[in-house]
Amino acid sequence: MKVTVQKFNPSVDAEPSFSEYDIEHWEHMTLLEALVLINDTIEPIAFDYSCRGRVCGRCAMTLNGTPCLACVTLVDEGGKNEVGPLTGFPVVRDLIVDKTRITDKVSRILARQRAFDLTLDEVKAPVDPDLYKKLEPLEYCARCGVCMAACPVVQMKGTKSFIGPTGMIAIANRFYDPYDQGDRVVEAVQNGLWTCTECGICDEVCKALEIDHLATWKDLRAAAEAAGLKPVDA
Amino acid sequence: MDSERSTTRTEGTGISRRAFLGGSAVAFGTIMLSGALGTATGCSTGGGAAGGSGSSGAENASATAAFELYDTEILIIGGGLAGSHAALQAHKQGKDVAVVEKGPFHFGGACGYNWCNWVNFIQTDTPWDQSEDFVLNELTNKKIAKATHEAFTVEERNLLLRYAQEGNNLFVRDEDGTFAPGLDMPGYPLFGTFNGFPRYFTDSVERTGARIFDHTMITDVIIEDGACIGAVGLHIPTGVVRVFRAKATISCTGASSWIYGWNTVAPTSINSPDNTGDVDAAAYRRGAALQDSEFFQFDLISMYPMGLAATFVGGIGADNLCCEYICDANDTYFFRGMDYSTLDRITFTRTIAKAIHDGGGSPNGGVYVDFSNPEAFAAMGEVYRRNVELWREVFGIDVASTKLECALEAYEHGGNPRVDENLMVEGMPGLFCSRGGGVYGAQGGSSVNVAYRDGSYAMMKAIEYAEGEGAKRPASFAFDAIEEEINRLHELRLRQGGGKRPQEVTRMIQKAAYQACQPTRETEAMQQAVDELARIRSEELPNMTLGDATLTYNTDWKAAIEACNLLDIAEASSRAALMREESRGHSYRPEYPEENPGAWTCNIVARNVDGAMQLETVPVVELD
Repeated sequence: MKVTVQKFNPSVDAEPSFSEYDIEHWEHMTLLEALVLINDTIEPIAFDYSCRGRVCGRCAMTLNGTPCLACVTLVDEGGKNEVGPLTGFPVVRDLIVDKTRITDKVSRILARQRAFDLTLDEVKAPVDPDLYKKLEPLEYCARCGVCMAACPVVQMKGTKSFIGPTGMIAIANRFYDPYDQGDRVVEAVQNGLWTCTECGICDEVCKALEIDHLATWKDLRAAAEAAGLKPVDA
Repeated sequence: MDSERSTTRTEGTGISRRAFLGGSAVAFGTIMLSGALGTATGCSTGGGAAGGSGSSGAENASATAAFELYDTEILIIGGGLAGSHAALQAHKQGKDVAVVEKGPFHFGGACGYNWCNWVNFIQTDTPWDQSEDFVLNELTNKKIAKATHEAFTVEERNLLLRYAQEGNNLFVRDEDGTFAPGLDMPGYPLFGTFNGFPRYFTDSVERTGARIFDHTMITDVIIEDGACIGAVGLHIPTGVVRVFRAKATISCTGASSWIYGWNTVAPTSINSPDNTGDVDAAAYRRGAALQDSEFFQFDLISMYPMGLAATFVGGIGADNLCCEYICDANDTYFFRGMDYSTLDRITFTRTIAKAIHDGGGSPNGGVYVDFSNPEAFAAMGEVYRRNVELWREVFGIDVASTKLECALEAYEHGGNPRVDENLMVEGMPGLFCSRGGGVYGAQGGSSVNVAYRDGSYAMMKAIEYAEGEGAKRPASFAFDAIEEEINRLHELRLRQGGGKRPQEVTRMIQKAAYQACQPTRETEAMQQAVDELARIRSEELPNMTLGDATLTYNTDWKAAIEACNLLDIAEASSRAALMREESRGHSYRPEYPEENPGAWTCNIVARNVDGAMQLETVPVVELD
């Protein structure tokens, strides 16, 4: 089976190059398995991974141009397998990119805004069951950045007009969170809620299968509209 | 490496000793690599001189090595559960800390996976010797058990509230939105619930303003007059060595289960590739004793597809909730009829180990879980259940149609530097371990519920030390040790011994350690493994050949440093496992099928004696 990997060391290379490898294929072979096999038995490739199960986000990259998590993406025995770094992020080396631009932002967004500490009585109090069904899936966002690399708005305009799906999911997390006392609707609008085209590509590439991105954007937009925060041209 | 002792500091471009000591924030310096390294690069401009450009290997032509220096009051190594709680404790006490994390994006250890775990909540306070912590056993250091329990109020030990206050959302609710604990038995001191997401703790640490240095692996601890005054690490993206000086240092690096086997992308362990025992091995080389290395903790996780083998965040497995559906290769459901409510993990593991040994093993040395019964799905934890849909979508596998081959996966390892009741490394003041040797005894490692507590406790004691005995440190600075370590690292980077690449050497170490440290421990196989590790040390390690000599994110370099650490940990673990001639903890030795309290109520420690590892038994620490 053939696998082509983009190699690039920005400190010494003028531009990326591509190396092709011929490796043995086995049933259900993941892209991560292919890369480890090449790195172990042929030559070094700079790539990163940790959990082998879509929750750490460290093996985000592209296969044939599509952003993916290498640990849960299969390679094609007879087809082409062109592997590159995650689109839209600065390349450190080969398949390693710098994602601090989104991870730092998401950490700040997820800081729960509260005047006073939560009490045990609040934690154990009943909540609206629909809220629970909407919020719980968002916990599984791995902040991998696959949706950012796939988002046409982010790729065309950067993250200034639209923070991108990862950041918006974090805002939605605190929007649904019954313990958060901040105004997350304003935050969503500020961060490009209405700039998102609702194309749904983020939902197609996301491997946290329980997250329903489009339904989440819909809830945020309804709340924004109710608060009088819908632009006239939207 | 004796020929490379000729290291000198550069004049002019190098940093002066005075500036070095005066730097309170950050200083930069360069160290001249030894002559041997200057000429070993293969593309040097000659004579070991600095510079060189134009070729694709320009980076390696430099014969000087840059380093950065950081000062902090307390250094935390590892940003996972224990590390994040150490940082939060420091924030509570108003202390300046720096957190060094091996993983990227600030996330590390158990907080580097966005998984959900079980969260205990204490309903009734208990004395320390009836503790809710599940780590108290015959081999636990009783002074530590008492001190770590009694340092906190019952409110402080209640993890549920900690999770909620640091950002976790709703845990588990029923159809009506009512809080629904998964364990709430009358008269039992605990209740517990699922859906605690530990990654929120790292977000909290970021908010405290702690300085976080991620992508940085610690390679050495700095010793001054017998005390630890910080650590040396490598920033992987740039290849720059970072020197961290601190009045007290806390290691929160977790288990070293990366030694345990290999299945295409990972050992037979959920642990992260970061779990290579870097600090444990560094402390061992500098004189700390590694203790309780023969003990691991196991659970039962799927082995197929191989890319997801042994990982419970992507795999499917059974714990004691599912034991009714576990069977061996002969279709014997060997747990049926047992009282599951009292089934502890140790009995669980050893029952499976014995079934495998008695001829019921699957092709990959595991057993089966029969998920064709819908009730098995209902019993399975959410962390597995969410993977059923993933398997269907990605791999086209219908879990419900088959018996799933599962193996005993080492999710924890007990080996760590031996500590006293302040969690300070014995014989190495200034270095604290949130999970030191003696904390877990035969349990074989931590659990989520004590990692946070021990991280907080280590910080409380580290602050006391930093304000007392450690306040005057560092008094002078041991430049020579820094130079020695920088040279060791660069010698590894440039090693061209004509032998195997570090990844291949690592696979050999992992294979041997797996053979010696399995729950079923056959003496002959263990002896072979110990011999193989000795051979790897004498024949493979010195001859390693790296496929890359550059500085920027050099994965071969990182693997070579890790191979040295993994070998130390694997040797300590395998030899201690062989030495302990009984069945105890999660392990079952067919030749010694019973626990032997008369002979083996003791801990095993491994010490570095003039470069060779020596094992000995020490008495269990009891209360005075």
